[in-house]
Amino acid sequence: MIVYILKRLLQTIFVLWGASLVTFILMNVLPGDPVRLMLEKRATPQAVERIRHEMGLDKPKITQYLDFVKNALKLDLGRSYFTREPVMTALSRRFGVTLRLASSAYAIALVLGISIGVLSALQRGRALDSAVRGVAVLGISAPVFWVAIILQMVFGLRLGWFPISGIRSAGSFVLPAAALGLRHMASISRVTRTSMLEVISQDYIRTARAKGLAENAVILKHALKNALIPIITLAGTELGDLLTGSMLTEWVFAIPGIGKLMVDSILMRDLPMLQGTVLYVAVVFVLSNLAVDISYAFIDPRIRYAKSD
Amino acid sequence: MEKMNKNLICRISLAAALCLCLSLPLFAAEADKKILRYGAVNQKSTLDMQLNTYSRVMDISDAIVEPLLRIDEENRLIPVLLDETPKPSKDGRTYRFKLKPGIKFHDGTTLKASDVQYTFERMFKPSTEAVATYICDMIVGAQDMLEGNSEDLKGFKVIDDLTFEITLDFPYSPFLNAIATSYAGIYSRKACEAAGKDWGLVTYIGTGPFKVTKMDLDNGVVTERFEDYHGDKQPLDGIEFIFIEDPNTRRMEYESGNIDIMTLDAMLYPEYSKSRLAPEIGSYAPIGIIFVDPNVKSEFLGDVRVREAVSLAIDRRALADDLMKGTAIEARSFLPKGMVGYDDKVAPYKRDVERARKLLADAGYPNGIEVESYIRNTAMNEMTGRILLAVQNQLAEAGINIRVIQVDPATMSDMRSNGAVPFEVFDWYADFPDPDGFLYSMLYSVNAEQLTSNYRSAEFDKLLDDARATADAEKRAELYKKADNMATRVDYAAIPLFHEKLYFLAKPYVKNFKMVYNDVFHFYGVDIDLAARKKK
Repeated sequence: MIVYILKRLLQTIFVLWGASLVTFILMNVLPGDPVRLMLEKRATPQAVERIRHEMGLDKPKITQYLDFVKNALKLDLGRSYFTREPVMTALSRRFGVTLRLASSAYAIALVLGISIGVLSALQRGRALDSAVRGVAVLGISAPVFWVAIILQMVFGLRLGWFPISGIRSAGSFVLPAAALGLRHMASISRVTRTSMLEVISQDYIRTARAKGLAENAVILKHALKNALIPIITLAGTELGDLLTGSMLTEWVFAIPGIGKLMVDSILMRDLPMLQGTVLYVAVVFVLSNLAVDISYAFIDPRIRYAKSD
Repeated sequence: MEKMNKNLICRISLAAALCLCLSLPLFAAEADKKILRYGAVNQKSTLDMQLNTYSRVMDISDAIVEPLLRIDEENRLIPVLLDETPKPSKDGRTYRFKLKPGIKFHDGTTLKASDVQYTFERMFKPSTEAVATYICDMIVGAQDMLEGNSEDLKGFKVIDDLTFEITLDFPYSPFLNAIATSYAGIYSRKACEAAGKDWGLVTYIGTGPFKVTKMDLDNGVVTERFEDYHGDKQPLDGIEFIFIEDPNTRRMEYESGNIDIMTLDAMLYPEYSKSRLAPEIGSYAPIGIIFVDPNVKSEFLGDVRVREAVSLAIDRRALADDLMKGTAIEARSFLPKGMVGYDDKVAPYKRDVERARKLLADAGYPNGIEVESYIRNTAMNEMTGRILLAVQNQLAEAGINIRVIQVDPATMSDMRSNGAVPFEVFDWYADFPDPDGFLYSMLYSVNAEQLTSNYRSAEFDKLLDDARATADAEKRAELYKKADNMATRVDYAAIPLFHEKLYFLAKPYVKNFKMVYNDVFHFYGVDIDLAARKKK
């Protein structure tokens, strides 16, 4: 297992290198000069040239990329073209915010998603099942910004229970986490329901009941544990998704997270900041996938990672 | 099975309640202080005004850092850090400045002439990467510094701790206006050098009425009153600049009483003016112009007859009254009314679709033309988009078909400077109340080449060169009048549409808030009626 983990971590280096190279090429192929954007309507050719030189943008592209890689190895991702802030500082600050939002949303999605999915499977064909399936379809299909605005209007503006925007208090995360979490909850509940339905029709569940085991033990110990593999696969990717930010939720709730940082840096051609956010996204996805793979082995003892893996 | 379900329902309810409890709000008790909460757009920029040109950053910076002079609500120059407004020498090139004694920076150090010298020299050093050097690059030696040939600003002479002289390459009469802008805010040499690259990001101090207590470029900036301020004591205890980008969210925060003042999109004015918020709407007319910027080097619009046809096919009254719901003033020239060089006698533009069609036919396009227009795909550009669509409809009647294409901001600025945008609706707000900030910035050949128009006229440039170097007010006004007429009614290098009014929302308990000539929110003398706020 340790060898497997080390191998996967080693692969991460290549993933990061590939991601940075692709981003660099794409940003240089696309039209748009960050200096002209920075100077906006007041750009004189002299000013453009002067600032391009100061920022090192007049160097050959390959030199620019190698400089980036060399500095990145020292954890120096450069400074934003626009705020002039070190990319690492901006990333670590934004990560803190995204982590708080993502963990709240993830808690909602996991706890409610799995519970509702299990209940729905146990109540198959009944009113509760139909209601849960309806909510799940609504949760998946309702645009997150629409849910966000409704939550703001009802719980923020009308009832005044939670802050409408910003991150000035712990309560500020309730509405954005709900808006974001509901969507993921819907997906998790659907997968849980399907997986549970498949498992509870198995012979070993019937045997467990025939042995006189308590229903709680049958469902939680035997059925749910065996139904967990597809749920974990989905939950892993959902975690990666949440940790890389949600542009729309962050925009509506004025939350300075990673998602907004990334979109802004694309629009502004802020290459250092974009490189930083892409690397961050790559790391998050690689690690969350690794965590999912490792967790399989703990949940299902039949799964073992051989040396050849 | 039923028992199991009940247990599960109980567990789910408990888990949900726990989730909610964990994230219950920790509302802070609101202090009994006069703190103004301003709902602002985050420009994602340093506060250092040498490095950006955003009005919304100026809102914050101007409360903290002050220039030598400022321009008041009636466009008068008011000395801020100076004893009095200096007069130019006889040849119009040299100004002697005298600082008020005992002015303190927020770090307790005293303002000296050497700080002013440092500020100007920093602006022209290439390593600073300053973006608004054009406002005063006529100081002797500025160009040498910008080109990296010199480390000293030769036209800046320190006489003593409180006195200094600035000499210009030529007599530039709006010079004092230019250095009364946010770009020329005076920095403390000691603090700025110590902060290095963190200046404006982590550290930002000045001599202004408010000092920074919390610098958070993601969420907002918090300031408190500077007790050692050299001017009148400010009634506010502090200002909180709270960043909220989504206009809907900003409005909800305003309605719920979490912010006291915010900008209001002009398009929303008609709806808001009929709501209960109507008494809280304020308006101002920044010195600016919305105009069609035709590329004079593009395929169809390279012909002056086609450009005139565009001008004739536009119904400016309809744009001002219908599209803008009466919130705009139809333009008669590039310069707005009241500006030096504005021609009171000039007739309003008249729409004449038939004549526009005839001009097109004369130019060889009897069946009309199709022209591409590009627009940036950002939320902030929503109003420009609506104007462009209205203009598109009007021009279609004359056979001028505009194909609107959305691009991202970086692509747009690149296309503009490469002369690849044939047609654009553009807005411009002057840096300072002087025609030079309009005609020179937008249409002088060197500057126009970087924008859509690509206008290049030796005669027009000569008029502006003469006007810039003329001290005589009447002669100057006459030159700008001629230049405006040449650009907008002879060469049709710019096709004025209307002068915009902008709006803000302010709670009734916010007192003495006034706007000046530009689109910058200043909070000098603003007060809060605490009793009224508590009642609310």
